[in-house]
Amino acid sequence: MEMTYAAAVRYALEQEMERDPRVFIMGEDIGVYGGAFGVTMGLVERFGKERVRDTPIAEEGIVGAGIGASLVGMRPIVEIQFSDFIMNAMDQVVNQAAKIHFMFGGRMHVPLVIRGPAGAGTGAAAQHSQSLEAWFHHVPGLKVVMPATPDDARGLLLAAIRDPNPVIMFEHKLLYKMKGEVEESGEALPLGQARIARPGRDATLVTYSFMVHRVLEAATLLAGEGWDIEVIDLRTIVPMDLATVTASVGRTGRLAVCHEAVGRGGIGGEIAARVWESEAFDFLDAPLLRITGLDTPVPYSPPLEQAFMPSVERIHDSVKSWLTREGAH
Amino acid sequence: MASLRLPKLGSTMDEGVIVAWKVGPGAHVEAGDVLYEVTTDKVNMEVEADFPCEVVRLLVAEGEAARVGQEVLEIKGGGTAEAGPAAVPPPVRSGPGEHRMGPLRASPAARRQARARGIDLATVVGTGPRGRIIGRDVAGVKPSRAPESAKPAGPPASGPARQTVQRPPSPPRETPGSGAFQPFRGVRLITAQRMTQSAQIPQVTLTAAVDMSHAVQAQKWFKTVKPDERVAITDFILLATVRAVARHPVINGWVEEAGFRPALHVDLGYAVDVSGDGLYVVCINAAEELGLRELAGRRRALTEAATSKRMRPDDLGFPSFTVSNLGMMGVESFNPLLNPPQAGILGIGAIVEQQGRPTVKLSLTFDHRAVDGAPAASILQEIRLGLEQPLWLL
Repeated sequence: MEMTYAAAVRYALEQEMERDPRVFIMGEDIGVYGGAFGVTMGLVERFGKERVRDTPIAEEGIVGAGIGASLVGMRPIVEIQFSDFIMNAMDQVVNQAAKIHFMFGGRMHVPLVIRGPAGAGTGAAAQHSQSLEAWFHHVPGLKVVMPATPDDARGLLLAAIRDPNPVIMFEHKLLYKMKGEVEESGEALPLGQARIARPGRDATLVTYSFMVHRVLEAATLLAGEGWDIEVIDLRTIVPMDLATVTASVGRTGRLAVCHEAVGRGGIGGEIAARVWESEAFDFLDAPLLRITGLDTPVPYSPPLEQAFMPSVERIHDSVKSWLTREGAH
Repeated sequence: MASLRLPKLGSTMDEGVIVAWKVGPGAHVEAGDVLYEVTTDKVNMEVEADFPCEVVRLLVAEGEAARVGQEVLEIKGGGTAEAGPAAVPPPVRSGPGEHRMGPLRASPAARRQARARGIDLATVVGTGPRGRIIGRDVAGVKPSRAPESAKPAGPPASGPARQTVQRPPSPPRETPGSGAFQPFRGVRLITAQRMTQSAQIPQVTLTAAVDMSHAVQAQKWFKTVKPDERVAITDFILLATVRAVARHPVINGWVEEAGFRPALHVDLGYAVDVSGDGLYVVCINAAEELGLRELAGRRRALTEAATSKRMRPDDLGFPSFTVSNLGMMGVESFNPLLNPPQAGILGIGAIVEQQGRPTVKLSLTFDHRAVDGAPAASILQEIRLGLEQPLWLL
C-alpha cells in the first residue's frame, strides 16, 4: 500500500495499539491537534484520551513518566515535538532509561520508545533542526533508529516498540511527506540490519535517514559519468550492521560516509574507525571521504541552511573529485 | 648470502645515484655506520646499516644510478639473510642534519596484494596522490621474489610509466689535447637527463618587459617598516606569478604522455643555485594560500636550507610550476627550459633602467602540447599587471 512516511509511522502506532493493550502514546499536542507534523492525526478519536495523552510542555516529565510506566509493565511511546527538545530530558534519557536495566541487575527493564522529528531543511532554525544521533549513539543502553523510507519507518518502529530496551527513533522532517510502498503486515524489521540501497563496484558510501535519498540521486549522476557507487543505508545506528559495511568495503576498497549531522564527532568518524579496526583494513585503497553537515549551528537563512546540508551536488562533486584524485579509474 | 637494496627515500624518488661508497668489500660494519651516499631528487643522503654485517661485494659502482629496490650491496651476517621483499628499508640520515624518513607511501590494499604476491613495494611506482602506491599499481607488476644469486640483480620489475636515468657513457678513448674525462654525477647527471628530455618537448617562450617602479617602491617601504622580514623584489614577482597561475589552471600541472594533469594547488618551484653544486629547485607548497610576507618567509627558509644543504626531500617536493631567477647574476633575459613534466616555467632577468624606469624582463616558457600562445600570453600579461600595479595583488 502506498503511503507517506508520516502515515507509515501512524500505521505502525495503530497496529501496535490494536495488538497490544499495554501500548500508549504521550506527547505535546499529539491528541486533538494530531501532532506538530500530523503523525498522530486521528489517533485520539480512535483510541481515546487514556491511550493518546496530551502532556504539558515538559520533556523531562514526559520521558520520566514514560520510564515509570515502562517499569510497571506498560509499553509507552513518547513523542518529542522537535527532537532538539530532548535536551530538557537528558537526565531521564541518559541516566535513567539507558541504565536501569543494568543497575537493577537485569531485573527491571525500560521498553520505552522515544520518537521525534530531526534534521534541517524546513527553515526552522538552529534550535529545531539538529541531527543529534551521535550523542545517543555514544550512550550504552540506548538503541538509535533512523529509517529512510516509509516501510522502514513502519517496520523499525514496530521492532522498537517490541524491544525490551529504550529505543530512540529520529524521523527526518523532510521525509514525512515522502511516499513509498508499505507492507501491510504486522511484521517488524530487525534492528541492526543495513540495506544495500544500490550495489556498486568503485566505492562504498554509507549513509542513513534522509541523506539516503540525496546520496542515491548523486550516485545516479555519477553512474552516468562512469563511477559505480555502492550505497548502504544503515537504517539503525545502534546496533550498527558493521558486517554489511566491511564486506562492501572489502569489495570496493574505498569508504565514504555521508550524514547531515555535523562532521565533528559524528557517526562518520565512528564508521571509519570500525572499518579501520576490521579485516576490511587490508582492502582499503584510498583515504576516507566524509560528506557531512558543516560545523555550525543550522542557519535560519534558507540559502545558508541549504549550504549547511550535504546537497546532491555537493555529494556528487565530493565523490567525483575524491575518486578522480585517488585514481579509482 | 644476503643483499641490501636501495631504499625509497622520498615520495617521488624512483632511482638514485650512488655518489660515494663509505665501505668496501671485507669491511665489518656496525649498526649506524654509513654505507654509502646517494643522491636522489637532488638531495644527498647517507644510508646507514641498521644491523651489524660484513660487506662482501658492492653491486653498483660509484656514480652509477640504481633503481629503488635494486640490490646495491652484498652482505654476510646480520641475521636478516632473507632481506626479502617486505624488508623495511634501512633508516637514512640526510646530509648533516638528522632527519629520518618514514616508510614508503602505499595503501593497505596495495600492501596486501604485494604481500600475497611477493612483490617488493620499493620497486613499484605509485600513481596515486603524492606518489602513493595503490592497488592498481601493484596489479600490473610481476613478483620480484627470486632466489638470491651471486650476480648483481637485474632491474627490478617495473611499474608503468617509469622514468630512467641513463648511465653515464663509458669514458671515450683518450683524445689528444684533452684533459681527463669527467663523467656526470649526482645533480649534474640528473640535470643532464632532465634537460635532454626537456629539449624534446615543443616549447615556446614569451618575453615581456615589466615596469617595476611601483613594486620597487613598495619593496623599499617594506624594508623600512619590516626590515627583519627581508621581503625582496623576487617575492613580488613570485606572488604575481602565483596569483596569475592560480587563475589559469591550464599551465599549473603536469603534462603526461597523452594528456594534462592539473595540479590542485600551486606548488611553486623556485630554482636556486647552490654554489659549485648545481641547480636545486625548492618547492613552496600551496603557495596560492600565502600572502606576500608568508611567501617571502617560506622562500627564504627553503633557499637557506638548500644553500646550506639542510634539505629534506619533501622540501624539493613536486612543483606544479617553476620560477627561475638569474636576475641577481646580471642576466637581462633568458629562455628557461621546461622542467618536465611541468607545463610552464618563468624566467626572471635583472632589473635594468629603461627610459628612466626600473624594468625587468620576464620570460614564460610553456609546453605547446598542453597550452596555446594566447592563454600563455594572458598569463604573462596578468603577471605584468600585478607587478606594475601591486595593488592588484592584494
